[in-house]
Order: sequence, then C-alpha cells, then structure tokens
Amino acid sequence: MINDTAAPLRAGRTLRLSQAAIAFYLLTGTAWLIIASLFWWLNTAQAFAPNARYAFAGVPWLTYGRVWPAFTNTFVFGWASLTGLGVALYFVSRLSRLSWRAGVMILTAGIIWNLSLVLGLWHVLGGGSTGRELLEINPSISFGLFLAAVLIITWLLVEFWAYRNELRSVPLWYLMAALLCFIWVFTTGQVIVNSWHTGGPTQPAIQSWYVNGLYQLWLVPLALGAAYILIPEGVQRPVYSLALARIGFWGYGAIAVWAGLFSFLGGPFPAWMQTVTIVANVLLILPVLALFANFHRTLNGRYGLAGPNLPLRFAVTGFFLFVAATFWSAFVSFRTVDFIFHFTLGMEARWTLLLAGFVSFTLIGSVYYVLPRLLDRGWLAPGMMRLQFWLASVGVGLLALDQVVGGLVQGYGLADAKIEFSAVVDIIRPFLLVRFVAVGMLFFSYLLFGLSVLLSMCFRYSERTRTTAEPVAPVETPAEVSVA
Amino acid sequence: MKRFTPYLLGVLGLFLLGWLGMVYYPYMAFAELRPDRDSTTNEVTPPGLPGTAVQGFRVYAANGCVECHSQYVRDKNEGADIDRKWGNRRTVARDYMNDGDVFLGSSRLGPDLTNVGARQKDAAWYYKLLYRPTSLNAESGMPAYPWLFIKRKIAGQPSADALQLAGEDAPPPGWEVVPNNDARELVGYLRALNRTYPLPEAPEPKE
Repeated sequence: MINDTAAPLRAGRTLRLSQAAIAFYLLTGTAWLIIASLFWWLNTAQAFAPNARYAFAGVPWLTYGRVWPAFTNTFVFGWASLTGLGVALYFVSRLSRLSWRAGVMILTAGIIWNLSLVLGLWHVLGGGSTGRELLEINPSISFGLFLAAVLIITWLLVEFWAYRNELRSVPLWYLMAALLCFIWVFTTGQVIVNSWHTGGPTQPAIQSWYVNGLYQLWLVPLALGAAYILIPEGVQRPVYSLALARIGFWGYGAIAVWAGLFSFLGGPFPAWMQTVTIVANVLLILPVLALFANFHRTLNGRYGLAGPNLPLRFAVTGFFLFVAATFWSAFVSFRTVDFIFHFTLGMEARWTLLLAGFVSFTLIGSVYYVLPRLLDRGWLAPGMMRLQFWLASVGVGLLALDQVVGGLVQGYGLADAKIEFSAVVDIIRPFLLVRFVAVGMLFFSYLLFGLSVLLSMCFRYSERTRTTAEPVAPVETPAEVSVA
Repeated sequence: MKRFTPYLLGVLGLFLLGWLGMVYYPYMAFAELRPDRDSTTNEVTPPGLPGTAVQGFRVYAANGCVECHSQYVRDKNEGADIDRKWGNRRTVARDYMNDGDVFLGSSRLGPDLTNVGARQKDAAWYYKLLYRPTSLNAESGMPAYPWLFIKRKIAGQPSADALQLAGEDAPPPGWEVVPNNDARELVGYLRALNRTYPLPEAPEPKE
C-alpha cells in the first residue's frame, strides 16, 4: 500500500500502524457480513414459516421483529460502513498525503465502533430496540458509533486539509464527499431523532431522509469511489472523460439529497415533499447515465479482462446492479406504480440491488484488491473466490427477480379489497420460499468470502498475480493521469 | 477540480440545500401543528393517547411490530386502504402530532393498524392473537409472542383475564395463561390506536 506513493513521513512504526488499522476495519467488516447474512437468512425463514421450531419460534431474542433490525444494523454499520471506512482509508492514503501520526486513534475508533455494535446488537436482541429504522440501537450505546465516526472523519479531513492535498483524481472526490456526508447524515439521525427524541410526524420524515442518506450519500459514493479505482486500474486505462465524471459527481450529489421520502410515499407528509422525492428519483437517472457512459467507454473493448481479474469483475457487475437499482427506484416512485408496489416485497428489491448488489459487490471487490497489497500476500483459493462470485451474482439476481414478481402479485392482491388480506399473504408464500433460497445462496457466498480472507491471512502466499492478473508493481493510478 | 476548499464548499452547499428542505423544513413546520377545536362541540382533535397506551410504545418497538404492520392510511386514489376498511379517510401529519414515537412502517405482511382500536375493542381478542395467532386464524402469518404471557397453576379462583383457549392451545387442567405487564401495556396501546375523528384537512366522508 502506502509505500507505493511518495510519502517520506510514512515509515516503520507508522506504516505498520496504518496497515494494522486498515486491516482491522476490513477484517471485522467481513466478520460482520457473515453475522448479518446469518440473521438475514433466519429472518427469511421466519417470514416463510413464522411458527416453525427451526425458525426459533417462541424464542424472544430471536423473534422476527428483532432479527430484522439485527440484520439491517449489522449489515449497514458492521459490514458496509466498517469495510467502507477501511477501503476509504486505504485509497485516500494512497491517493494523497496523510501522516497517519494519529494511527492509534484510528485503531481505537475502530475498536470503539465494533464494541458499540456488539453491545447494540445484544441490546436490540434483548428487547431494547427503539423501533426506528437504522436507529434501533439505544442512543446511549450508539453514541459509541457516533464518537468513532467523528474521530475518524475529523482526523481525515483535518489531515487532508493540513497537508494541502489536492483532489487530483476522481475517486478522491467521491471518497471525501462520502465521508463528509456520512458525518452530517449520521449526526442528523443520531441527534435530532434519537437524542432529542423528536416525536410527531417530524420523526418519520427525518428518519426516512436519514436512512436514504446512509444509502445514497454515504455507501453509494463510497462504492463509486472504489469503482473509479478498480475499473480504470483493472483495464489499465485512464478514466474516459473528466467532464462526464464531473457531471456524474455533482449531478448525483445535488439530486440524491432530495430523494429522502422514498419509503413513505403516500404517507402523511406535505405533497411537495413527496413530489420532490419522486422527481429526484427520476432525475437521478441522468447522472447515473453519465457515470455509465464514462465507465463503459473506459471499459470498452476490454470487458474481457473482468474474467481473470476478480476485483474488476466484482466492480463491473456491481456497477451494472447500480444502474438497475437506479432505474428501479425511478420506476417504483411514480405514483401509479407506487400504488401497487408500496408495502410489498417489491420495496425490498431496491435494497437488494443497491446494498446487497452494488455496495457489497464493490466492497468485496475492493477487499480482494486491497488486502494483498496491504499485507503483501496473495489469495490462496481463486477457484473458491470465483464460486463466491457466481453464488453472489445468482443470489442477488434471483432475490431481486423474486421480490419484483412477488411484489407485483402481492401489490395487485392488496389493491383489490375483494381479496381477503390473509389470502394475499397466502399467495406470496412461494415467493417467500424463493427468497429464503436466494438469501441462503448469498449467505454461503459470504461464508466463502470470509473463508478466502481467513485463508489468506493464515497462510502467506505471495503469488498475487494468479487471481488479479496484473503486475505486482503499482501502476500509475490512471485516474491521476486523467486529471493532469 | 483540484483545490480542496471550493470543492468542500460545493459539496457542503449542495448538501445544505437538501438538508434544509428535507430535514429542517419538516422540523420547523411540524412543530407548529396545533390540535383542532370544533367550534360547536368544543371537541379537540386529535385526542392524545391515554397514559397506559404510551407505555405500550416500548413493547411495540422492542418486538419489531413495525417490520410487518404499517400505521398510515393512504388516500382513496393511492391505494385500497380505505376500501379495506383500514380507515375512513387518509391520515395526515396532524394525526401524529401527539405521538412520541411514530411507527409508519413500510411493509404490509400484516394488516394496517392505524385504526385497529376502532375495529377491535375486545382485549381478550388481542391477548389470544399475541399468544397463539393460529387460534384466531389458522392461516395467520404472524409469529406467536409467548413471552408476553405467564403460564401458572391456578391457585384458588381462576384469574379474570386468563385466556380462553381451546384444543391444543389450552394449558393442562388446573393451569391458566395470563398476560404479563408488557402484554397489558401493548394491548392498551393497540386498543388506543383509533384515528376515526375528523380533521379539517382530511374530513370523514359523509355516507
């Protein structure tokens, strides 16, 4: 890593500390992914068979309504956020000058984050959930998450500024913006909704914006930043157009911040807020098309490299899932479509494509890219990693398809008052079963991912080229070339 | 776009605009909501929740009821909520002004609960549903919540609020199932969920 840029400040102890801190974020993030998907899988089993013994019926701490927040919180704050922070720290360090003198603080922040999450998970399962989406963890515990986030991001921003770093490459725009937005979104949710305990209709309005902000202003820019490194570097070509990159970046940021009311369309909120959300979701297609054109022209003629190069393969597949997620969000936010899909399984399809699809694929690809460079070791079992890719792809595809079709059936059922409610629930049973199978595939895929990470940690295997199919020596970061 | 400061201001500025619209505006606007007082009957709407119901929020949140049950009724042209008799009118922001926690929900694996207290007033029905959902509807997709109940030996007279269970669900002779404190609070909350009053911005239909 860190030794491949000109950085006289980083040597010896500081270097080892930065490696340790980043590895800690990546490894604990991976562990949380496995825990989260286990909860997810259990939750889909419970939806299919609510009172079956194998779904832990009658066990209070594993009841459906507690397993679901356990899954979403560990997935978003454990897997996506921790791994994302690790990936961001690595890439920002590589693309700019950071001293890492406060490395101990970063490592400590990671430990605080993990401990708070463990405590929060225990509290939610024990019956202490606040019932507010992604704020389920009691404020006195989630203050730990907040503190850790503030420590990491303030340090990064101050240091970035102090060294008069320039934004010489496209991925840096995204990574720094993601970190800035994260602290603001997280503060809004934690302080206004959780600590001040704002009640009344304000609560769901802000909370919905907060959830959307975590997805679209924190995790998505983060993954886009990683994609802007993995894709150009994977095909050994600079980013096609800086102008398109600019349009994509500013357009996305300016629009996504207005898309907050997505999950409560048709709810008790002023009509203009709902209309703004719908318009924003539709307009988001434009910057995403700019992104798509840019990536496509960068990749054009070299898509074949995504075969042997796993990080690139994950990044490209992930990006196509992002395009699908954007079109789907735009489609379902139209009032006439929302009429059918609201409150159904179809609402989850966006989550599947965006979080389990784009964000997770890009982060897995990033871990496959970063870990060998960070710790100077290779991957032991490329066959297993390819199997992991296929399991994840088929799993996400099947899940999204199942949720869309199931949502359509459920939606038309709910829209017809002559069909009894329990009959609607009965009709979607097969879709709940397929969902269970698809999430099971994802669980095993993530298990294989964790296993590859564990194997490469335990056994030193330095022939990196076998899986990544690229020279070990760092190439000139293509993104930097483009801005020159 | 090389220099950090203009970039920083750009990102923060765009973000601030959206934040003002989607966070600050509702924060300020909803704080100004006032209850409506009918000039002829002097009735205040929405009425606040009774004290026992407020406690029930906690149990509702802790067990994640919101993951399957929504609490808002959409307009007649936005869904079949009104046709399904989940409410007579759409719910508006003012309906929630007294609530410390608002569980709108975004899934309907279970029915909407906005007005469940108006549909079902019998506490025993709720207890039975929570203890063994299949005893009311064999096809129910709801999990059971046995930890909200106490199964105990009858000492002297059977308790007045013991659940009337039949068949497989019934406790052995000489035993009874009674709701614990959490169950009482939760049912108190559910029975208080009743928004069947008129508001000027969302009048009850005249039929």
